[in-house]
Amino acid sequence: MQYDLLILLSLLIVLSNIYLLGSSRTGALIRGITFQGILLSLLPFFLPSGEIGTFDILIPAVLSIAVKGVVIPHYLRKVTRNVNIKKELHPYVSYSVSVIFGLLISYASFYFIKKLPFMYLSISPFNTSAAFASIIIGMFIIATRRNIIAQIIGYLVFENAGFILAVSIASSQPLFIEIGILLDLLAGIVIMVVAVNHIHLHFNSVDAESLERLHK
Amino acid sequence: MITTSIVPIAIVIVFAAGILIPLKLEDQKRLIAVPLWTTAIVSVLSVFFALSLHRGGAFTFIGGNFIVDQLSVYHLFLVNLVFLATGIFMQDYFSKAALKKNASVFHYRRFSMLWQGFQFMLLVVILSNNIGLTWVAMEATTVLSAFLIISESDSLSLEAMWKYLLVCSVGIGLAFIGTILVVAAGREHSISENMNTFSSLSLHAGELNPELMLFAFIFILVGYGTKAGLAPMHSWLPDAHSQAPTPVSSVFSGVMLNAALFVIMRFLPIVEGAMGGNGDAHSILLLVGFLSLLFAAVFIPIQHDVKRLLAYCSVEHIGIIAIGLGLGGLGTAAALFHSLNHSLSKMLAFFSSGSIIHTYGTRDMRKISGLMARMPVWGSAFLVSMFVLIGVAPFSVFMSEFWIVKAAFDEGQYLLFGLFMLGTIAIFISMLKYVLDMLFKPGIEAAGKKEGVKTPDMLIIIIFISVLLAAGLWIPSPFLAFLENAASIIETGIRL
Repeated sequence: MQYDLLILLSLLIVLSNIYLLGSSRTGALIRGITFQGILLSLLPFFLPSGEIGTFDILIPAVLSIAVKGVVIPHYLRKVTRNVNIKKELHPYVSYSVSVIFGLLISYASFYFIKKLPFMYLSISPFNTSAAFASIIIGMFIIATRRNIIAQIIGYLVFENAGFILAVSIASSQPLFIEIGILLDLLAGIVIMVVAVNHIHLHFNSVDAESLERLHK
Repeated sequence: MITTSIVPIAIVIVFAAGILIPLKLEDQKRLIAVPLWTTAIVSVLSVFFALSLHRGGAFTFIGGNFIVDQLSVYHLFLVNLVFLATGIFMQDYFSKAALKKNASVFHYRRFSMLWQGFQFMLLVVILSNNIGLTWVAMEATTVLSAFLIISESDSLSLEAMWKYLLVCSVGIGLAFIGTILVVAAGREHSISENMNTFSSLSLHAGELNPELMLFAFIFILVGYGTKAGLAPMHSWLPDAHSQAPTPVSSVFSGVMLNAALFVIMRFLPIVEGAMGGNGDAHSILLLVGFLSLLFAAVFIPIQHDVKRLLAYCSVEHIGIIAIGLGLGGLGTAAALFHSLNHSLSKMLAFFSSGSIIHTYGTRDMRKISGLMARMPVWGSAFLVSMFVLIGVAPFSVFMSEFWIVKAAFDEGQYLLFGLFMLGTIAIFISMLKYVLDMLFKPGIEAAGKKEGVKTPDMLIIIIFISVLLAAGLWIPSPFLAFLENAASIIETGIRL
């Protein structure tokens, strides 16, 4: 039963990646990443060894939901209102191609992950392949979107991948490390959001194209 | 006892005070002076670590999460040295060149606080024994230092900051995946024992899953290598180094890159131990080292911006350090020695170029001429630092590069030997051309009045040049023994 739920969660994470790849509206992107963040925070509860009551699992999960499900989306929505961008028109790669890429990568990572020599360490191949697919999809979003808020979303997908991998093959870290990782993520996003505000103030745009003068 | 409990607490208190005091200050001079005082006190406190190490050998503290051994003490002093020298230089630099034309107290305050937070996190990276903590602190250095780049705020520096933030965050994210894989390897070995520390991992290195560790090492090398500026992950580096204010470029080049390489040095013996010492990890390091040298050799000749030139020069030297590490043996000690030499000479180069840029009002090397006539002191400092950086004898960079060449030759790696010589000579020629033009070509502006140099800056110049010269001619045997001890930690892992 728990194992089935774990697979279901991994599948939902893959689906949320595909949703993000196909969305042009910033609001939809933020909804997608919030959904994904909350899903991941729940993952540790479905581990074979996980006991919901234990302090070491409960505290990071609650903090993680607070950071990924509430605080970060709040900041992202605020900055979106601030810079007044609703929709991105011309990504470097079209949305339909992105979705096809995402499906292919998700399938390929599921296929290849089973060949890795240390897969027996992982609690389920679904989790680990979702993690490796998310790494690539996150970087893909960063590289192909021109809207720098979408690039932040890509970074979040990428960070989430590390979290899924940690849960599926390394189990839990000491509490202070888990909190440190969350704090770093939060601080990183806050700094990026402040940077977006500065960039918007300066260029009157959040298009990555305006940030391409430093070449060579 | 004192070293393991009171000193760490004292360091935390000093930094906490240093970060909070600027909130109460309004005076720009004082805001910039605070980091210097913090560094001075922390440098004194660091001596306790060195003394304890000297008396009783390597030790861990705070539940085994921190470690002091020859390797970490060496880097600890490097960090302190760079922040101390940059702190002194900063006082005069900011009094002359405002952060921004309309810099307010807010900007100075932000700078002072972030600067110290960044420094604190670097110290945590250096002293950490816990691989998770190392990662957390390294990511924190990225977050805290991003806004240091835009202290002189304009559109180009914003662009550089965004690139730095995104590229380094993704890089460090990859390092996170590598760290997770190492934790998994440790858990496979033993669930009961704490296998999240460098010391316990190196103790049991031989029993870890070799394939998993190699896979992890690739992620770690790419991840921390991004932060270290190893090619081809160096894309953020020229932009950030060239756009940041000079003191920030100086600490980025002087220690941040080294701190990232330091983490790779910590993982290297563990991975080699797991794989039975077959040298695969060393070969990967050699590869990225040579790639960095190659990128630098290609991009240095086409630079016009003096700070970009210095940034690519950092890529070159980080590559050389990676090559030294990859060669192993004598190369490892040479790599460590090269870190020190590079930090010293690069700081001198950034300080002098910062002053030159301020006087000439441009970073374009084609527009700077007659330097020797207009700015004799900073001009000569620039000349010497450039000579040191391109590896002119008898300065110390020549010495450490010579060791690396010798290590390659001794191991019969003639191809590597040849490539190394080719790369460094190409860089030698292209950099020399720029420098000589800047210094001696008579300039239109040469008639301007000569620049004065403050005493502290003068002292920095004299001390740095004499150390660089002295270390090239003669290395005291205690220092050599210390270097060899530190190198043996990279070769065989931590032995407590």
